[in-house]
Formats: sequence, structure tokens, C-alpha cells
Amino acid sequence: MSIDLSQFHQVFFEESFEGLDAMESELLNLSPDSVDAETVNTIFRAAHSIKGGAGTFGFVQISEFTHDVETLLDEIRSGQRALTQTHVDLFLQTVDCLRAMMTSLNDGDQPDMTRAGELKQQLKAILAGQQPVVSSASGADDGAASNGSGGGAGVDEAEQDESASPRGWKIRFVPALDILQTGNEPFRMFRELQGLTETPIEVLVNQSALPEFSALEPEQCYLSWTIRVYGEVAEADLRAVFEWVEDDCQIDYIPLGQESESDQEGDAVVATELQAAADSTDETANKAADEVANATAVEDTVVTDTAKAEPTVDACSVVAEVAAPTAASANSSANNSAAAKAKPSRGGDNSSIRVSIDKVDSLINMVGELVITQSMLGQLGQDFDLSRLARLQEGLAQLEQNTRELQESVMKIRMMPISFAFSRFPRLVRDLGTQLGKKVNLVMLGENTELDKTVMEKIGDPLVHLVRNSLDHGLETTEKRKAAGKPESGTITLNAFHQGGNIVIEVKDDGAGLNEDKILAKAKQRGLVPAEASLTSEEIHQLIFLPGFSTADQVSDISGRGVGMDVVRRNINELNGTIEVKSQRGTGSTFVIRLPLTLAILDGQLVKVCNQTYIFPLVSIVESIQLQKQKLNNISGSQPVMKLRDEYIPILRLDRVFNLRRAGDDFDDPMLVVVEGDNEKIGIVVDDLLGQQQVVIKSLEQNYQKVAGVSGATILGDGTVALIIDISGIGKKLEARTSTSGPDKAA
Amino acid sequence: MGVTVSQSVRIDCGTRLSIECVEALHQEMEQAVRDAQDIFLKADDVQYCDTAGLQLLLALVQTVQAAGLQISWQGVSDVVRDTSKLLGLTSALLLATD
Amino acid sequence: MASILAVDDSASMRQMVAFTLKGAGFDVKEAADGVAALAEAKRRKYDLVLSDVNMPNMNGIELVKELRQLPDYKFVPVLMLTTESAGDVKMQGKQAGATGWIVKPFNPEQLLSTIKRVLG
Repeated sequence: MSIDLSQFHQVFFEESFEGLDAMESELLNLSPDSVDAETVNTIFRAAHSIKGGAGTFGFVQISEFTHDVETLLDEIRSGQRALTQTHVDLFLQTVDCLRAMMTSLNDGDQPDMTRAGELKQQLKAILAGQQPVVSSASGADDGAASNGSGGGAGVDEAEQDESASPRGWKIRFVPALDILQTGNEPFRMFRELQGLTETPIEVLVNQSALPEFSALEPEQCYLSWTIRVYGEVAEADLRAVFEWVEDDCQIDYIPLGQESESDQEGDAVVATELQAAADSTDETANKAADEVANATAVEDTVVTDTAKAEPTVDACSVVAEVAAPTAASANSSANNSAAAKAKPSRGGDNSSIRVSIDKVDSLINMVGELVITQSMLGQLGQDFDLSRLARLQEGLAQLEQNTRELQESVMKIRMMPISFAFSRFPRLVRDLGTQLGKKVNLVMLGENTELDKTVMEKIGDPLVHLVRNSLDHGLETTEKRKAAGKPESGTITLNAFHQGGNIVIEVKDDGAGLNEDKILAKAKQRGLVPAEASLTSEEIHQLIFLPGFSTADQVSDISGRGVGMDVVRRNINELNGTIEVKSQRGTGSTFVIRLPLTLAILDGQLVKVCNQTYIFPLVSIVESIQLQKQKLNNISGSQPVMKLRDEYIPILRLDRVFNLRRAGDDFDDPMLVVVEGDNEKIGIVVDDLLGQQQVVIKSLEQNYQKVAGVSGATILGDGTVALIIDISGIGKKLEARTSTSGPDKAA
Repeated sequence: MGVTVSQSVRIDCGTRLSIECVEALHQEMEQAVRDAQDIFLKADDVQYCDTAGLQLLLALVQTVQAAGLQISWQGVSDVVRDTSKLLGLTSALLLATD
Repeated sequence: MASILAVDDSASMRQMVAFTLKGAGFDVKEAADGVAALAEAKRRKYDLVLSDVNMPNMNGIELVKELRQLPDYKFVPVLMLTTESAGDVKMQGKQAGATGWIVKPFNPEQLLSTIKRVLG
């Protein structure tokens, strides 16, 4: 039977990433001053699981690397070694390294082992250097090991035996009295022995220890055996059969060629005694035979020197494994760790979601109801007349309800608590705070707020940027805070909550707040606003989202990664979300992100262009106005713009963009929909505004191919397909056209 | 349960002659041994047996024979034969020729 | 066919074990920790319990101890899934009443051949 283990890789990676996240968050909770046993245990368990899984699924690099980590953790867990801050830092780096390795493997690449090699050396240095505090128990452990409990002694013998190549083995097996009570069965062991060789084995039972019937405790095992196994069988294979019981049973392995005479005699005695026991009931005879048998056993010990000493009770202090509920912090994506130097590539597209059985059960329930409704309607349709109209309407109402409930439940499957996205921040804030020499408290609220998995994955990077920004630019240095009469430690608060069909995420700091004068000066200097403009506070705050804006006197390597607030804003816009900032000089700033709960459904504005229906995301629409026809004629040209109140906005004719053929000459009664994407307003000319409705987004890429300016498609109630306009994409189309300054013909 | 047939008793080993049943079976057999009757062992329905079960039968066989009474099989399933053979108990359980 | 309760907090290990055993015709139920396993064991008697050692909520050693208190599980074989590095864990498992162990990493073939040692 051969099983393809690769089918379990995805699950293994996912749980390993979760395990790494758990390790990380527990490590951050760990303080060398007061080591919490449960915390250490949780970390150990995560490392242990990763090692075990990696070994099983063939990721040798991971299991070997994790081995030393596990060893060090085990020493700390068992109290043999005191935890230091160096250990914690090293473990954290190990987590980053493992995450990067896993990411590579998950992407089908070979991991870069340079970093792992460095860390392994450090781990080895720690393990080898200062000897762990040797507990008295270790001595006993050594004793047990040299005793040959599956250890070196056995191997030596096996090698020796292989060279000797015996004709077979005689095994003397005296089980512990309670062997049967643990589920170990001699007959299965003998059957397994028989499986090692083709020649039938010989099994001889010794029943001399069997007590008188009324004294018998039937769950104990009083029998012992001598088994002869013929053929070239390695001792290691024999030992494997008795592996589970070798510590509390007496088992001797004697090569058949090397039996001593006393052995043979002993056997003879046992055999005779067997006969005697069967024929006679003379107890004294039994006892005598028993003694002979025992004596034989002693001789065996002397001659073959393979007998076991009394099973040593392993005196190693049994560490009570106090189970700790795993911190429910976990996230899969490897790109979480901002500290990891590895390129943050996401683990493949075939990611999966773990769904609780409850959610699946409720789905099944609803499908059941849907089926009932469907069959009811089907019956109704077979012989329908108007008298049954009420029934039909009732049925349709029920269908609508079923559908809605089903939709909600399916959406719920994709929902995950935002703690998955938040979990990276304790580490990030700790590392950054140390780097910048700022004291920071991180407060996370609303961690159980749920949002769509895809939205969650995409909001991660913008959030990281915002938090970095708050730490770097928002929070003042400790000295400045003291001078301002604020607490030394700055506070960054992450808060998530639901509000009217959206999820709101706030990133708040109690720092200096936005410096409006500085922002305005910079904006004027860069020509982003006219030199004479006077703006309100809110308008000034919005300037930071403009492309190419950065006020930091010195671009630090924290937030100065060539990424500005404009990119954050664009990322959020791509999710059909918005971001705004509220700030008060001296008391801090709050960034507020609003996101739709899911990307699968969009609030859309339906518009008509020629005979086609298109959909604009409702969030992107600024306003819609009637457009006089002659005005439309005036705005032709290579770079059509229109003055709308105080500003000039570029104008786009959707009919030309999509090369639509129209029945008449031109628009009869055009409408201008002003949309905003990428901070740019565009006016889009359409024939008519239709209704607003929620539409289910179907991917064009998956079903056809990517089309510039179109983010997807949906199927309308009448069965026709409508394209969903990608506002920033269509803006780029406009740019492309104007930059080539070609004729006003749509591509 | 033992069913008395004139001077003898029949002990039914049931379908499982294994460690979880041996305590109860032991008590039933003790009764038979105390009453000093000839014993028939019915084991044709046994689908699973283990060391504890066969060890109990072995102890019974020895005790009954020591008391000079008769013990004999009334049907033996293949499982009982096979497991007895593996444990080297065939002759001790009087199953050698049947 | 014999029924097996497979206990491991690692979903990938659990799935691998369950897939292998189901493929061999066993009736398999999965549990993610000792508490869940114990509840399942009380609900129904399994012919064999395979359990990881390091698990949250209730570890494998505690699970064996608890199982052995149940009349139905007094003699049911219980195998621990453990790692080589955990020599003393094997002994702890034995003392708690486990039948034996399977050393991780193991492949499906090793798992099946080991199970033959306690079933059938």
C-alpha cells in the first residue's frame, strides 16, 4: 500500500504557520524573570509538532533544524536550564527562519539554509557550552540506556549476530504478570515472529507458574514461553517484536548455534516438566520443576550475557504536562513577519479555510430547507392555476428567505476573526520599539470581529504600514513625551468593530498628532496644492495620502521603505474600502479604515451605456449629474476635461472605451457619473443610471482573462451579464490614452 | 451459564473468550469445579480468543483432571485452535487430535 | 472491521493517520485532543486508540490514565505516537497503561504493520 503524502502538505504548512505564530506570541509573553511553565510548554509543543510533522512528511531540513530548538526548549521546560533573554531572542529568530523555510517549501522551492545554519550553530553553542544542570535523575537515565532499552547495546549485538549469521534463535520470554492488561498479546507477538521467517516457529509453553484454579487471577499472565525461530533473522527484528514489553518482561535472545549444553538440558527439563504438569498434579513436583527452570534461566544469564537487569524504574522527574489551551492567536500567511527577511510570498493559491462543523451543519440544514421549498414549488408548477397564486407567492417568499440565509451562511464560512491579522503586531511593536528606543504599549480591541479571509489577507500589509508609521512618526521620543507631560510609554491602539455592513479598523496613537503647518508647507513646496490655497484642518490631513508625500525629516528604515500613505490608500481602495485620518495636535492621530465585510459581494450602481449594463462600485461614486448634450460636444479633443465647480476633471466616454455601437447618433440625454479612484476624480459619461443593488462578483480572470478597466462581472436578475468597472483601472486607460496623445478613439 | 446435564455441566465460552470476559467465566467455572462435575466445553462460537482466555481454560483443564473428573470439548472454533497453536497450548488444552 | 480512535492536535498527522487506516478498511474517528478523545471514547467503544502525546487541554499520557479508568477501556490497546527524542515519554506512557508506541516520523506502511501487533 502506497500513499501519496503530498496530499497532506497543505494542511501541514497551514498548521505549522499557525504553530509558529503561537510560538511567537507565547515567546513575547515569556519573561526570563518569571518563567511560566505553561507558556514554555505551549512553545515546546508547537516546536515538537512541527518537527514531528516535518519528519513524517519528508521535510528533513525543517525537522533537523527544529530538533535543536526542541532540545533547548525541553531543557528549559524540564528545569535543567534557566531561560535567558538570549534564548528568547534566539527562539524568535528561529521562528522567523522557520517561517521563511516553510514559505519556500510551500511555494515548491528549496529553502535557503544559510540563516538556519547560523542559528543552528548558535543553538549548538548554547547546548554544548554551559552544561545543563545535571539532575540526579540523569544518572538513572544513563543506567537505563546502557541497559539496552532499544539502545546501543542492542545494535552492537545485532551487528555481531549478522556476522555470525545464526541458523536461528531461541527466545526465552517470561512476561510480566500484568502484560495482558495493557493490551499486549503474546499470541500476536508470536505471530509477528512467525512473519519474520518462512520456517514454522516452535512455541513451547511453561505453565509451571499457573496457580491452583481458585487462586487464579485470570487477568494476570502466569505462562511463559520458549520460542525457536529458524532462519537468518536479525536480532533487531526480534527485539522490535518485544519492543513495548522488554522493560518489564524477561526476554533472552540466544543464537541457536551458540546454545550451551546447560541450555539444552534446561529445555529438556522444561519439556519433561511440561509433560509432568499435564499428567500429574503433584504440586511438589511442579515446584521442583519450577526451581529447575529458574536455575536454567540463571545459567542462561551467565552463559549468554544477554539477560536484562531488573527493569530500572526511570527516576527522571516526571514533568507533569500541564495542558494549556493554545492561545487562539494564529495566522497562516508567512508574510506576516515583517522581521523575516524572506520575500513575503503567499503560500500558493490553493489555500484552504478550516470551517467548524457547526457552520457546515447549518449549511446542510439550509440546503435541506431549500430542497423542500424547491419540491413544493415544483409540485405547484405541475398543475398550476390562478387559485393557487397565494401558495405560489408564499413559496417564492420562502425561496427568497432560504436563499438569503444560505448566502449569509456561505459568507460566514469565509469569515475569520481579525485576531488573525492582529496577531503579528505584538512582535512587530516590540521589535520596532526596541529599535527606535521608544516605549510602547499595544492595545488590541475587538479581536473577535470577523471579516472575509481574502480581505483579511489583503489588509495585513496596509495595517503593518500604518502601525509602523504611528510608531515611527506618531509617537514622540521618551524625552519629548516627558517634556510634554505625557506618560513615558506611548500607546498604540488597534480597534476593530462592525458598523453598518462594514468593518471598521482604527489605528490610533497618543503621539504628537499631525503637524498641519509642516504638511501644508511640504504640499505647497511639492506643488500638490496651490501656493496661495488656504485649507481646513481636515483638508490638510488628507494631503498625506497624496502620492509622493513624505514629511519625515529623515527617511528612516522603518517607514521609509519607498511606500507612502498613497500606497496604503490605494491598497484599501482596491478592497473597495476607504481610509481617513483624524488628528489632534499634541494628543495623537487615528487612522480609520472602512472595509466591506466581503469581496464576494459588491454594492453596485447599475448604469446603461448604449444597450449594455455596467456596474460601478457604489463606494467610488462621488456624484452623478445631468449633462447637457452640447456640453458633451464641447468636451471632445485629445485630452477632454470638464470644469466641475472649481476643478477640472478628465472625462471618459464608456461607449468609446468599450467600442460600443450605438443605434442613434450620440447620447440623447447623457449623465455624468463622477467617480474617484487612486485619488483622481474622473467623469464617466453614460446613457442612464439604473438601480443600485448588491451583486455577486464573478471573476473574469478565472473564466476568461484579465481585462483592463474591468474588475469582474456579474449576472443580473434577467440573466444578462454585466461588467463591473474597475475605477482605478479605467483611470489608467485614460492616462495611457492621453500620454500617447492619440486620437480620441477608445482602444 | 452452566446447564446441568445429569452429572455433567456444559460451559459455553460464548463468542469472545478474552480478557474482558475471563473474570465472569472464572466464577462460573469455579462453581462447576466446586460441584465436582464432568465438564463439557462449548467453544464453537468463539470468534476471538486471547492468552487470558486460553490460560483460563488451561487452568480449568488441569484442575478438573487433578480431581479425576472428565473434561471434553463440545465443538471448537478455528480461532480457538489457531490461537492455541500460536501459544503452544494445543496439547495442553487437549486439542491435539480432534 | 475494527474501529480506531485517532487522536492528534496536528491536523496533518491526524489526516494522514486517518487516511491510511481508512484505506486499510478500518473504521476511523478523529479527535484533536485528549478531552475530545475521552468524550468520544465514552460515547462508543473503539477497538484501538492511537494518541499523540503532546496535546493541549489533555495530553496523551493523561488520556491513557483516564481511559484505563473506564470499564470499557480497561484492556483496549492504546498506542502512543511519540518521537525518538522522548525516551522517558515511552515509559510514562507504559506506566499510565499504554500498550505501546509508534515512533514519529513513521510512514503509512509502518503504521499499518504496527497496528497488526495489537489488532486481529
